[in-house]
Amino acid sequence: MKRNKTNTGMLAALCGGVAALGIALLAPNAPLAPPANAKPPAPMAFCHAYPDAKACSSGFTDCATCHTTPPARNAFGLQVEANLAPGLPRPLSDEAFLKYLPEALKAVEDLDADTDGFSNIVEIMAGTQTADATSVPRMLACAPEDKARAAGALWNVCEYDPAYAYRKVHLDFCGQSPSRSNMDAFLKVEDQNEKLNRIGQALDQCLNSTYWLGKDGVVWNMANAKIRPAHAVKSGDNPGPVPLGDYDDDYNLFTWANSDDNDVRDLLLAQYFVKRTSSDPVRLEQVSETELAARPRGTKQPVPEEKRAGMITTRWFAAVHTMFTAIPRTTAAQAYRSYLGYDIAKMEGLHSVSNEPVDYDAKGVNAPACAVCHATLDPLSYPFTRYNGISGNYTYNDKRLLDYVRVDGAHVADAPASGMILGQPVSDLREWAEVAANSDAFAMKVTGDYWKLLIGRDPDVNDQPEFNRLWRGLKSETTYNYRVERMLHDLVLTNAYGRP
Amino acid sequence: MTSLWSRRSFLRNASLGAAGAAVAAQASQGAYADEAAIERARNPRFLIVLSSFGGANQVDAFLSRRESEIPNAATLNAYPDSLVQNIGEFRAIDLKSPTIGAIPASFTANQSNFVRKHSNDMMVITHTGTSVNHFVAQQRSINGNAAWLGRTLQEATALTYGAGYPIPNVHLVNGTGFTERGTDETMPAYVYGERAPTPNLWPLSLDGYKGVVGAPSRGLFEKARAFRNEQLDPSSAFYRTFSGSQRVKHWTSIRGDALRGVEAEDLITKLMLFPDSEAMPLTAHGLKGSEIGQKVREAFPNYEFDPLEAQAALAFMLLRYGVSVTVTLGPDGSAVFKKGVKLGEGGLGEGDIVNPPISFDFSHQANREVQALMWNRQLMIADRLITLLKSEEFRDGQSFWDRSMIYFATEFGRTRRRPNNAMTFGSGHELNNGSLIVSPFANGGHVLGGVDPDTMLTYGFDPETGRPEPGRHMTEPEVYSGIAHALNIDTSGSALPDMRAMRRSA
Amino acid sequence: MKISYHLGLLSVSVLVAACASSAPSPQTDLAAVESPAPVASSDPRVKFKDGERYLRDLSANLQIPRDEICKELSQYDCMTDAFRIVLGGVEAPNLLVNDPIESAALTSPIALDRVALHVCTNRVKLDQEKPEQAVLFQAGAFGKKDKAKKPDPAWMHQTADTIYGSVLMRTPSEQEVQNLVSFYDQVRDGRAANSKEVAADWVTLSCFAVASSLEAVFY
Repeated sequence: MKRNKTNTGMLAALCGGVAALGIALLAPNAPLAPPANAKPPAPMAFCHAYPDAKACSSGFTDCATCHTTPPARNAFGLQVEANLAPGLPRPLSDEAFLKYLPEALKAVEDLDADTDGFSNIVEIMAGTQTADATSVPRMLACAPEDKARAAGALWNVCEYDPAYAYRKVHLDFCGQSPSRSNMDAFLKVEDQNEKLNRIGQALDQCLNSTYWLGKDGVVWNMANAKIRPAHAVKSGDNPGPVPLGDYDDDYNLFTWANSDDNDVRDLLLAQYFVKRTSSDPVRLEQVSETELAARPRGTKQPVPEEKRAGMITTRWFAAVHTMFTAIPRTTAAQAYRSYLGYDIAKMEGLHSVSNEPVDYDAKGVNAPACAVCHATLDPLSYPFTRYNGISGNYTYNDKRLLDYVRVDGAHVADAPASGMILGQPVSDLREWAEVAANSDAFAMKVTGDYWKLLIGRDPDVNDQPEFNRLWRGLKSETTYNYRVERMLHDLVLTNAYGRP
Repeated sequence: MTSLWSRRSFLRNASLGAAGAAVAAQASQGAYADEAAIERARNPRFLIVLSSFGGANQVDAFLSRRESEIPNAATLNAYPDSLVQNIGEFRAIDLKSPTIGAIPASFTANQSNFVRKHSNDMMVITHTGTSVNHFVAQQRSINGNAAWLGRTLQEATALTYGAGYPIPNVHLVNGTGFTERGTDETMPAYVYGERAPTPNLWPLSLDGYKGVVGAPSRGLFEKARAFRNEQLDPSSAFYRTFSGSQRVKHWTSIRGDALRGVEAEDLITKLMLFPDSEAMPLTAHGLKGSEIGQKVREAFPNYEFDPLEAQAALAFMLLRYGVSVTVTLGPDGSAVFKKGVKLGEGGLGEGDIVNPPISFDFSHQANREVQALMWNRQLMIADRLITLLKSEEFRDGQSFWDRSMIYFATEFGRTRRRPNNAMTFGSGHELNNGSLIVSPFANGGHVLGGVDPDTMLTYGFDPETGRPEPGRHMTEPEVYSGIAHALNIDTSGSALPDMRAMRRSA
Repeated sequence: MKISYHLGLLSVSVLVAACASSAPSPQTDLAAVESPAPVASSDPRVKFKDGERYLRDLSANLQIPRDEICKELSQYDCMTDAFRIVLGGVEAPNLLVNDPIESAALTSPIALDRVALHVCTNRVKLDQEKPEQAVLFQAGAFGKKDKAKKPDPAWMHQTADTIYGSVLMRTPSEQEVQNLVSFYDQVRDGRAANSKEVAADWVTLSCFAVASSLEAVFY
């Protein structure tokens, strides 16, 4: 998803020289990368040179402007590097880097790094990728003569084509094209509004299909990367050989929050669990606390109701991410990646907190190279420290860290339950989840996941107006009010979806 | 310009000779299949990535230490003296245990046999990574932390030697960072990894016709394909509307000569590991098993229930038949039990657990037992692969093994601390570790680097001479470079360091 | 997609009458009308249909139950068991493949061809076994008495229309019909023009060509 990353100035401290920096989750004895490699202000300096570039609307461009996986440079980055103070010894000082970068950028403006026929400067100003030949400025408007011709063709590429969208809705949400007779009936409709109504009706019908909501259905599979199931350690139905937790709970909650008139923020806020009472038609119900308490040992959800935070405090989430660790950085990073779209391993979503990381568990994360990420990650992780993984049987325990003193040292018990997320202080994981669920990042991530699924790619520069309207609408009480299905009704009416 | 098909014939007949290794040219590779590429393809070096999911720890194997060698042995992961063997420069641990942590499952593990047999080709290098996140560290173990334009070692190998091979880069294990696509998107399509997740049925995807009972003749089928490709699709309104789609372009590019190149080699037969049986009724469907199937099945007799053995069997066949120049295999997060074992019916017997869940990472529960069990498993797979590769001639008296490298890629090591003198204890993730590389191209017989007795952390070596350098830590790009250069991959312009010490010859 | 915007009124009424049920039915008006030349999309976002949706469509329109439509070695479902990953599916709990492949694998088009061939062969075989329930290979190829020296043009037109209607769920253009008709000579391949085997092969391979065409695979 190409989107503006809200951040503090820390992002600026990253891209130019993340070279040997330990990216995330560094442990003891990490090698200390030479700090001289860092070129702190690269993203900001780029935007000083091109304040009107679309990538600079937040004041900082993305690392991907010049890098593939930092420190590796992309084709544009290599051109810039070749023109950056040639002859001066490397690594450049920050001062020299700042001084010579504008010249280097200027020197490569008329080159075409990705040989897609558009010069670097044209792409920079258009907001497309200078190092990706598939990302090009597009002229979407049709010439008048093409408009007339397209209107009579099988696919009307000059505007929203209801018939095209109608078929797509069936395929995307029902898993099957409309029958020929169904399609022909649709084509007989002349009134444009009626066509749009029929698209909406088809969507409503398909949103209840087993293809969409069922086990291994579309919504289910959207959760795979967030849940990361592993049958070997599954409990409950169809258990694996070492049953630790039942991820069916996670899939059911995910499906619930993404369907019907349910609030998608319950992905992070739900204090209940959900069961599947019928597979065809799909029926989901909240599980009563009594029923939950009566479950067999291997499928219990030991975190008390008032401490739950949707998908990120389930037994499964703790089993596969927290496991045995005192300060569950992997757990926090996975939550941040899955529900806010920020992958700290890719240096996304960094909101550095002053005086962090403290390194309560003596892992060496306060080394300069590590602190780049851990100044964000560790305060993000502290609210998870009261939630047990495998050791501790997935329970909530205010005194949990005392169990780790023997292994991680006495200081580990000083780690607070409070932390920081997106620059906001939070007193515990419930507050963490509240801030996250109400953030722009969450709405963008939810919308972006559907966008990629249904449009087939991340929103590009031409898609921004429609994409922004959708995620903002998801947040708005008067528009979709966090109801995914309402948002989807508008998504299928976008040009991105319905213009062939 | 040499025609594709005559070039293909040239490659098959002139290059790979009696070994019978097949190389099929692909139209999409045209720009790359120049004379230099052909020459490289004639003399390939094969990279086998044996991924070691979860942290294969060197100080539990070839860099293990005796308690008598370590001042703080009671609280560090030093082994009782009697368990540590010295074999050349390497150490080895042979362990018999009645349990795996709390699990009452006895097993016997052996490292010494492998070391004795293969020490001449073994090289252990020390290094320190930059992430203890499984996925991130897995990626960095094969891309050197974006050491060379974000290319993975497998992609670099396929780029160097893969032109003309039907499927140069095959991933037999999936869903791990070891098989994550690199970030250099500028290479030809054949360079990137092809997923082969189910060794029994995957070969069926190598021929669009064979085995479809009742279909019209092959000749007519090919006419239908040509009719579709040359007449029906190009003139269709769909194509004329959407021909600018990258997905459509990619599809049309790979369903032409690339597809025929794969099919012409009859890989559906050559790579069919499974014999005719009730579960795999090949004969009834006009198919048959591979000529070398019996030999491979004997080497990997548990291929039916052990995914790693099935992967290894197919990996060998892919190399042996000239299909690929790099293969990636390894255990994933799944537990594997001996065939016929039923849990809850009288407990587990000796060797019933073939692979613990989450593989090496089960060391969180029982470090020594899991490391021993998993190293035993990996070494056994490697030994059998090497034996098979040695048994097949590549050309001019050289075996396939003479051109191969096995890289035991892993994410990180394990923490070195242990409770006072404990034999059974759990371990965490630790950046500091090392890697095992086995190859005639490696600086065999040597440990590069060493172990600090005060911490049991490894230290590095001089890249030129290999001399140990306490206080130095080898980096991910250095490891990447050493492997790439040992494979004779040209990294000009990359600024990768020369790691002369990791190569057998200059 | 405007499938029959330019059908004449008569054609539409015939079509609607013929399609009263959800099962695909061939259009009886053989004079399909050409659409205008297409305009190339400036921002094509076509997606891969993936094996499951592909087979569901064929199952519905060729009237073969989904779980019978394509079996490798007569026992493994082509999508679920055999080609799930290369045809764009996922298998998270065991294979750890959480997301579909971003771009087609080298083996994807081969697997797709194989699936299309299985399905079309299967359909024509069923048509021959139970002619009264035939979907693609209808009777009358060589006239009412089955003695004509070459295939009946109307039968060929109708068969071509049925194939497009069943596989792509639309009426073919006249050019598309002619393409398939002219393909008959290639399939004949020296055999007698009025051979039932040739006719069956033509139906099977025409079905295959359309079912593995870009329009069938992408949307």
